[in-house]
Order: sequence, then C-alpha cells, then structure tokens
Amino acid sequence: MTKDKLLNKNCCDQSIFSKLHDKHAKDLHDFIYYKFGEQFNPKDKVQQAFLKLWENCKKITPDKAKSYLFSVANNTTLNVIKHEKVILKYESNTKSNNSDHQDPQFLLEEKEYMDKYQNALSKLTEEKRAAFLLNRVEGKKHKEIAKILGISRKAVEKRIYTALKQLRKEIHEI
Amino acid sequence: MKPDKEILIKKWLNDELSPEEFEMFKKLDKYEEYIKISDRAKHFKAPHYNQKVEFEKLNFATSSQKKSSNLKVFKYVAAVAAIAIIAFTLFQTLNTTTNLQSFATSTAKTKSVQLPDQSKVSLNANSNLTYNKDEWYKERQLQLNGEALFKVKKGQKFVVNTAYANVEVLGTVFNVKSRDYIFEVSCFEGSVKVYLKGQSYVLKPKDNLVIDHENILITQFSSAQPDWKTNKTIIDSKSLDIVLKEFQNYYDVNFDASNIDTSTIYSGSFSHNDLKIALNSITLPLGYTYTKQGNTIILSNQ
Repeated sequence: MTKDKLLNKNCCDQSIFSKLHDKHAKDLHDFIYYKFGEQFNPKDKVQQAFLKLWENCKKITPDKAKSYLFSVANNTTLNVIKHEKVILKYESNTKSNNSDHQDPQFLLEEKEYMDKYQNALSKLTEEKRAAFLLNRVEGKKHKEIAKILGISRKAVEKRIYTALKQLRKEIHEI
Repeated sequence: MKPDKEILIKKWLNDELSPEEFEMFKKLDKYEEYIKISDRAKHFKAPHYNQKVEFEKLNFATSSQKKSSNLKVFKYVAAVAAIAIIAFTLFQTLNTTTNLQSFATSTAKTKSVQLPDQSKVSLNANSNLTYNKDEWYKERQLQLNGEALFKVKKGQKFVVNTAYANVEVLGTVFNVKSRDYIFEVSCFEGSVKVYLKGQSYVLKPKDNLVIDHENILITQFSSAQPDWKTNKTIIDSKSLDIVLKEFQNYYDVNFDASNIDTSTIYSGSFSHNDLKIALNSITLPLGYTYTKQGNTIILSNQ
C-alpha cells in the first residue's frame, strides 16, 4: 500500500518534503504564532524547523515528520524566549465596517473591549492560548488540534473551555 | 434531559450543538459574552502565511545540498582550496626568515612604533629598528641602531641588540642610545640588564650607563624621561666633535670645524626646534662664532 511505502521512505525525497511543507507549514506557523506571539518571528521558526528536518531527513520517516517539526519549532522558540508577555495584535474593527457611520461612543467601547481582550489573552498560558485561537480563529475542530499538538481530544476540549471561561472572567467581570 | 452548561459550551466550541441544544445554549446567562469573545477572537488572526513563498525560500536554502552533482563539484572545489591553503601556509613558514619589520627615521624626525605585544617604542631621529615579526612571540628581540625609548609590556625577556651591547629586560621603561660615537642606556622603570664585552651590568631606575673612552660608567640621573623626548639634547662633558655629530641628528646641516679645536669639552644643552638658538647655545659658551653657507655651518674663533 502507499502508506507502507511511505513508512519505508525518509523525507529526503523532494516531493515528499514539499508535501510535508504543504501539509504542516501553516498549522505550525499558526501554532507558534498563537503560542508565543509575533516577536519571536514564527515564520523563521517554521523555516528553521523545516531546514532541520531536511538536514536530518535520512533519520526521519514522513509519519514522524510532523511531531519532529513541531517539537523543533517549539524548542527553538523556547530557547530564545524568556517568558515575556505575549501580546497579539488585533485588527481594528473599524477597517472592515463602514466607519463613517459608526458612533464614536461605540468605537471607544470597542477599543476598550479589544484592549481588555488583548490583555486577557496575554495572561493565558501558552498552551491554552494556542488551543483556543486555533479553534476560534482558524476554525479547527478539537480533533484536529489534538492531532497538531499531539495530545488527547479531551485535553484540547478542556484547554479551550477553560480558556474561554478565563477570558470571559477577565474581560467581563473585571 | 437537560445537559449541563459546561457540556453545552464545549459542544458549542466544537460546532456540535444540535438546533435544540443551540436554543438552550442561547438561554445561558453569559451567552452574549461568549458569542462576543468568540467573534472578536477573529481580530487576533495570525498574519497570512504564504505557503508558496515560504517554501520557495526553503527550496533556495536546501538546494545546495540537494543534488549529488553539486556535491561532487563541491568536493573538487574543497580539494583545490585545501591545496591552496597548504601551499600558502608552507610559503608563509618558509618565508619567516625574511619577514622582518623595519622602522627608520631621518634627521629631525621621530616615530612611535607599536610592537605586537603592545610594547611601545619611540624612535629618535636618524635611527633604525628591526625585528622579526614571526619570531616575535618566541623571543622578543630587536635590532637598534640609533636611539630609542622602550616601554616594555611585562612578559618574557625583551632584548635590544646593538652594535655595542645587548640590553635585556622583562618589563620596564628604558632608553637606549647606540650611535657610532656613543653608547648609553638609561633606565626609567623596572630594571635593565646590559651585556657588554662579556660582562653584565644591572641598571636600576635612574641609573645611566655610558661608554666613555672605552670605560664603562654608571651614573645617576634625575629626569623623568630622556632628553630627546623634551626636544632637546643635554650634554655632560663631551668633546665638541661628539656634540656636533649629535647635533646632526636633529638638523640637516654639515659642519666645517677645520678652524677650531673639536676636542674642546662641552657641557650644556641644545634645542631641537630652532637652528639659530641651538647653534648659539653651543658656540657662545665655548667662545666660537659661526657663519652659515647653505647647509654648511662654518665654525671659527671669535
């Protein structure tokens, strides 16, 4: 079967390598971005991970590639990070809507809300933030996230749920 | 059956709510807040990841290792480079004997020289200093012809070879004057050992060694730096011919002393900055006069 064939191969084949990139690069990028924020250059981390995979392609079978990529990107980021506060940028609401007709009061409140949101996100643990945003922003199902992060579906569900609860508390009650 | 709040929310978070369950979810008191949080989350979307562009970059980076033919070419290039490097090093090693550093000054010029170990040398006028750059770290040794002030960094022994003697130190400040008519070593700091005619003399600070008519004299001095560093020459009981030779290191002149007795002993000093004043400070005390014709100074009795 094709799957058996794949298992016997390593990642040194260009076409396999290219497929792995198609399959995992975006998820890996989003994961690193949501987890650590922008200041650690998620794109570079993705590049580094794929380069590392290429260097070690003889040792890694395609089915192991994904977890290899994720741990390399995660670890290289952790190496530079000093657990700084992660501030994610938000796109201002006014851009998408026809801002001319918006009530300044509303705009101000919206701005306040988003600032609170930003702050609340920065207070979440990396794991919770990554899972929550992959779910809410990227529209990924619990099962997909579980696969990406290499944890159980239940754990993902728990992370997202507690993230939501924590965010609501931070934003609406304080 | 009424599923509890947590299960409803979890199902909502995974888009699993049935229409009836969604109605129940809507009735939760925090419903609007949850919806708003979920909705606004989209504003935090990660920047667009252009898969194609990123892969192109990666392709560029990996392409060098990709093709085996490239690797073969690389091997040849590496081999050629290795041979070139070996040849170059061989050439360098064989070449050491000629890798001499030389510094020279002409009349009235001085020069500062920094040695590889950060030791400093001030070279006085009409002087010549040579050392072997490659041997330097094995043995700090230089050749001096003329006069120089040395400020030696502490370290292994430091030897100044001159026509008269070898001056050896560890780390100190000292002046060596080695001209065809005089040899003099002055120690300013530390201690200096002078090997001269099979004998060694140790100089302490403020000691001055001079060869005077084949005799070796060690005297004391009080200045903090050699006279030439203050732009003058101080002479203590020297015959006039020596004074005139010394004079010519600082001024580009010739002397015609055929009318006078050059063995006259002179004590005093002359400046390096002004020819007229310098000539006066030598001739007046001795009762001589001078006339200048081009570059020649003719000395005569008054």
